[in-house]
Amino acid sequence: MNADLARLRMLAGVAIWALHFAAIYGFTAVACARRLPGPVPLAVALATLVAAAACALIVIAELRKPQGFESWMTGGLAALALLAIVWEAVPVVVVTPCQ
Amino acid sequence: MTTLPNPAPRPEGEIDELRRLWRTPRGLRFITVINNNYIGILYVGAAFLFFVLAGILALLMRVQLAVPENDFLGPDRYNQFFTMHGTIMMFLFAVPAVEAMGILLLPNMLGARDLPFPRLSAYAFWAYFVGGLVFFLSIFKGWAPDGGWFMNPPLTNETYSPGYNADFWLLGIGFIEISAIAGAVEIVVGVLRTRAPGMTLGRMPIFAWAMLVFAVMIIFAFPAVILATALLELERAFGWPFFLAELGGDPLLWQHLFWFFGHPEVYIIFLPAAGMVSMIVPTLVQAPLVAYRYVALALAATAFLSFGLWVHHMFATGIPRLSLSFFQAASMAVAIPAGVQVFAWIATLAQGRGRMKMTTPALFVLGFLFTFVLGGLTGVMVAVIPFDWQAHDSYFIVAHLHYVLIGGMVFPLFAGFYYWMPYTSRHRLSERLGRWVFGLMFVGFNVAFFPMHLTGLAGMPRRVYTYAEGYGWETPNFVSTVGAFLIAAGVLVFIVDVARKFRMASEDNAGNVWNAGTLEWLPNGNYSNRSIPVVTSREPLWDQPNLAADVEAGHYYLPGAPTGGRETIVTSALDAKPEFLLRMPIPGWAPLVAAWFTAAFFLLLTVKLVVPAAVCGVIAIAGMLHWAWELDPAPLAAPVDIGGGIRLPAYISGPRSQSWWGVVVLLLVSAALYGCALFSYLYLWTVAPWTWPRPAQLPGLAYPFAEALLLGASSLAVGLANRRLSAGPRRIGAPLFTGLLFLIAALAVEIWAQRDFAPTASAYGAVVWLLASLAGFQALVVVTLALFTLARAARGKLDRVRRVTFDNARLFWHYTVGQSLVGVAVAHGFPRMLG
Repeated sequence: MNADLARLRMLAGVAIWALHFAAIYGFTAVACARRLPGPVPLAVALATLVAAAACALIVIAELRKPQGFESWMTGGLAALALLAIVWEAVPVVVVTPCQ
Repeated sequence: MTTLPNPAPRPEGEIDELRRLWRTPRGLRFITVINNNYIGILYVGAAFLFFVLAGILALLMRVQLAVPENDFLGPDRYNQFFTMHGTIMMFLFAVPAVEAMGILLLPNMLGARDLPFPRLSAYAFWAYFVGGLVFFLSIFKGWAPDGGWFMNPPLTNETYSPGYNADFWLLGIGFIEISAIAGAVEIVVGVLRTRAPGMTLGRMPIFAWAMLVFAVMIIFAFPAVILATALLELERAFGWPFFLAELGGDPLLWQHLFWFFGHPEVYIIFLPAAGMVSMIVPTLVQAPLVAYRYVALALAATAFLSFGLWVHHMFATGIPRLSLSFFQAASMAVAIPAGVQVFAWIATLAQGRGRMKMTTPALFVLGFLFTFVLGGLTGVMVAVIPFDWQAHDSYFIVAHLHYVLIGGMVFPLFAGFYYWMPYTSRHRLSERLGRWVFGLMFVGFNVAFFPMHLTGLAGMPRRVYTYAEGYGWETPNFVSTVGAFLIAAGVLVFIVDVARKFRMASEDNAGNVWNAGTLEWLPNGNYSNRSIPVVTSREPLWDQPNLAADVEAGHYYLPGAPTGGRETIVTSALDAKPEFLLRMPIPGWAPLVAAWFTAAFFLLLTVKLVVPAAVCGVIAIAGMLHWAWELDPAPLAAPVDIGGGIRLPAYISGPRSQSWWGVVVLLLVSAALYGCALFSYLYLWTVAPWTWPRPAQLPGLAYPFAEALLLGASSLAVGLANRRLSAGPRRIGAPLFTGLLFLIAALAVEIWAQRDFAPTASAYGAVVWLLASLAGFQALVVVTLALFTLARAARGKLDRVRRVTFDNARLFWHYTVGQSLVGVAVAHGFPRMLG
């Protein structure tokens, strides 16, 4: 089980994506419910930076390893998560929060 | 593979022994069958029955809509029909159909003798089939649900939907989800742990990947709708105001929970169908799938992105624009992994130019590609918020969703029916009739649904039972009705063909008529393969020319039945190294009784027959306990030789056992459900903070601390029992009873602590009592498991080696303590944190 647990790392990118998505959606929802749109853009930007950096680190780490299927999958999922994280946060640049 | 594990000729009579052990029960006992080949076929058949029934409802609706101002069906009946059509197609046809294909195909595709929990498959099938049929019959009493397949409150609350109709949906469908989850547990553990030696993750057939992703999605998505139905039923039956705005509830909470399930649901249906296409296309062109790794990645990516889309069903509900934009972006992004798969299929088809024959599976695959791509394109259109506001609740949406669902799931499923028929039947289906089936369905489909884009853009709303003349809706509606009957004609021809050609078979099946490359096409019987092969590539039958002959001659692993019962090899999750021999159960009545009475329990509750329901509930639980009593057989001391010098233990407990994995998956389901409950708590706080108490109004801090101490002590008591079990089963009684006492005491303290907040008074009261109720439910399960464990200890069925029952109870127990601690922290900590 422990070896298998260690291999759950394959899902790290997915987990980061989920945390990021929950964070930006949850923060925006609560801020808007309390009529405090001010901090939303900064918070989303910060969360996105942290999450994107974490995914990028995983991709770089996997690129340095010998290329097995598992390693490829770990890197691939993290790369996709990175794209999704950035793409989903982009609207904050153009859309005013809480309107 | 240079050397075979069992090169010598096999002894006489070994194959007969296998046949005897895996024989199907005869006569009336046939219904106790648990073998995946049979359960799979019954399951597919039942799903197809519901497809036909819901299709008939669709035809009746199309007759009603064929001309304006029609009075063929009245408004009430029409409401019931469209609700039943959507509900049955989604819950009783689509999900069960793909799950059924998994149960039918996976063991053979993976080189296993059966799935790891065959009785669980039987339970899932019977609960679904009996429950589904009774649910359908409600339509003849006028009791069928009529609030739309998504059942939005306030329309479906007690005020606006009195009567049994909504309850049939909430209790009937709510419990059929349980059967989907049971199947998902089976599939996750089956795909991860019962693959043939050598079938690493990277060599797994794409269909197995798709089913794995499918099952994981069910584990995280279905609890949301189970919780939602429970909340609405609690509101309807006991007045807990989760969705009543005047008491701090919010109807949008329902939509969040429903669509958090509902959108992934679409991919839960589509991914297995895409997996089937990825199996069929390489066979059609006799070449491996292009970009295997990217397709596997795309399946996983679709799964996770699909959990970030649910609000796109709520674009018109007034949620702030930035929040909507996150979901708009995610909705567009999910088109990318779908596109990756489409290009992989096209590239594979292009690779085999000239080799491909236009067989019926090929026609359905091409029909799928065309239709699904169109549905995907309208999907990107409705992902764009301004366009969605125009098209919302119009026939454009009806067109889009049928292009995606029929194109994306029904056509691949029919391709699968034609493709895998020779695997499960003595004869393949007729190619000549197959062309008619495809032609009628494909043309009929486009005639029926393409005009709906136009009626939608011309402004016709969904779910109206009739319309007036003069809006330009008459012609497209009439054309749609004609198309619907063409589809029905195609399905009818298919039924005729199946009646003529389908004869259930295993050893005498039609065989590998397509020259496919994956393991399900090996010669097989009820025992699956005679011997379990070593896999060295993704298409073993293409790359190992003697494979079929050697498997059949018993030259690979486990050619007989060394323990004298049904058994299969369990391998490690990622690299598929043999780990132990799993001794499997034989047919019995207990799972059936449990399933029938589970269905009866929920359906009787629907019509408020509480006492008979309780009796049925008790019988169902007794059936489950009887079933569980026969599990965890006495350990065999000596390891078993499976050939090739490999000796495997025939008994295992702890984290490597299939049972442990099953419980862990079940705990993930519990955690997902609890996560949705916590979401509900936080969500209701954001919409109605005025119902939240100030810190001074809360129960004193002594309560949560006492509860935490009791819960911690309860866990410690189980830990002590765990340590004592190595000394002998007699000494676990005291710590287990003490632990139970602590657990129940913690619950009692919580109930006492919250006595001032009535669950009916406000959304706050309702949600706090919800958390306590969930803790109570978990505690009830722990009590049952603990008493069951002690009963086994008393009867000598538990000791320091034979301890799976105890381990399962212990896992569940520790999880319950953890979940309850989180609940206490939220219920007592969160309002204080607000200050």
